[in-house]
Amino acid sequence: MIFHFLLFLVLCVSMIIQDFIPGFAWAYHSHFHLVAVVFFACAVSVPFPVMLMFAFLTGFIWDAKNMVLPDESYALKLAAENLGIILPKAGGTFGFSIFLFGLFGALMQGIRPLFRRGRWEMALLMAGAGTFFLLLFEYLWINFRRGGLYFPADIWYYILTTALLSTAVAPLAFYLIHRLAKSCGYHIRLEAMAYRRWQS
Amino acid sequence: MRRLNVLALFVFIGGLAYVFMLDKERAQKIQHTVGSWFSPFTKAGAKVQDAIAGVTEETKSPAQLKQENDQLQIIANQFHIQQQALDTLEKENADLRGALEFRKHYGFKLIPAEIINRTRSAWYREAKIDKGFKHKITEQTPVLAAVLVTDGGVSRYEGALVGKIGNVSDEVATVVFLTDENCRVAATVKGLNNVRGILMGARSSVRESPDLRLRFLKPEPVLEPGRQVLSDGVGEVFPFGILLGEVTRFESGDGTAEAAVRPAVDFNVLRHVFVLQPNEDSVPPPVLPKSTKKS
Repeated sequence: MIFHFLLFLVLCVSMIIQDFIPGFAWAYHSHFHLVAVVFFACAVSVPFPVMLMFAFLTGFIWDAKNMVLPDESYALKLAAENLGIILPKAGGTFGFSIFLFGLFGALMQGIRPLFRRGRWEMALLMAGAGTFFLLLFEYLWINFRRGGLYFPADIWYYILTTALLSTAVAPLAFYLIHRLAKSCGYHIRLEAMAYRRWQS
Repeated sequence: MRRLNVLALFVFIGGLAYVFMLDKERAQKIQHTVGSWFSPFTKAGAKVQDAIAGVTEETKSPAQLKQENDQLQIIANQFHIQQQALDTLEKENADLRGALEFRKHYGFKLIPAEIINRTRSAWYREAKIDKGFKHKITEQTPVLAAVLVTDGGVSRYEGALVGKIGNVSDEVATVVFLTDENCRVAATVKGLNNVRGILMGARSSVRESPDLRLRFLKPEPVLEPGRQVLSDGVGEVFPFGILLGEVTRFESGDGTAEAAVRPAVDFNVLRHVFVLQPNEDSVPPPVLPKSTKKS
């Protein structure tokens, strides 16, 4: 219980630190997506119900902090009426990040048995892939809301570079959670199930 | 699947459905509350980001700073004059509306603000400013910047639209740039008051400074490049006549036309802006009845 609470605090701190991380101008303003990486590291370390709770809270706070809501102002409605048109909603959907974090958190749960046996490489790769698809799905959803599909090459570069940079910091997140579990007496890894390559 | 997992999944889906069904006002309130918790960190983070990004920038000499200061002084004076002109227009407007049995009138004041953080992504084109709810900034209000306009050989500073306020927390507010697709403004063309359309940002790559599109125009009259595009003033959120940009291209299709517009503001160098805030005694615009919506 204490471990889960501390993990939630770590998620909140990652959201604060995210505000301090600048984008790299030379890499299409891509950045370390710390929140996603920490969430994926948490998602693979906790049971399914706790992961869902984390997904809900992370997605909720993320959208509350960053989401641009659609413009439904009176002025715009009146202008559209005068022209006899209906404008599509161009803003995001509040809560969509909850869905995405829940979806990718559930996928992370799929490799939890492997992770509990001490094989962290797959979880690391999944954190990177999860960040990639998280950004991709976000972009696709905004495209869908705005109408039409626009995919210039640098969008791919931006998403890919952000995912690669995030994969690079993922070991730190996993190590931090491992240390935290150890200090709380929480057993993420099942020693009985671990591969004993050197002993066999 | 364990029973507890199934139960947790149902609770999650229920919570998600509830969040999806939140109306905009409630979502804005949540954004305001959560944004206010994080706003001290957002502000501090912006300073750190600025310091990191600024390491490679050249330091300005005292002479350059003095020149910049002089220019800003001129801009401030221009805005002061503009404010007076706006007050006169507002009074005139109020008189005319009074004649039309309008009970409400709107006044505006300018709140100076500084851009502290710029979001550069293909998702949204926005920036954070150092003023928020504490400084009486509210959602959907216009944001202006002073730009140098040359008209008939005479150069002067004029207020041009930067965008509008998106999310507001206690100390920080988000400006959704005019180049974002979510910032849409009713617009007209200077000298052609019967030409009306909706100005919005065009989708572009991360590196490009996107053009604007003036859409839903009639194929006639054809707009020549160089014509100024101004705010229409419909709905009274944006006052009439704020400079938006300049027509660069006109394209007509089947029964409708659109124009490419170069924004009046250079968003890459933008630092100081003014939030055009309604006066305290003004009242919010009326809610549009749903039954009047055209299909």
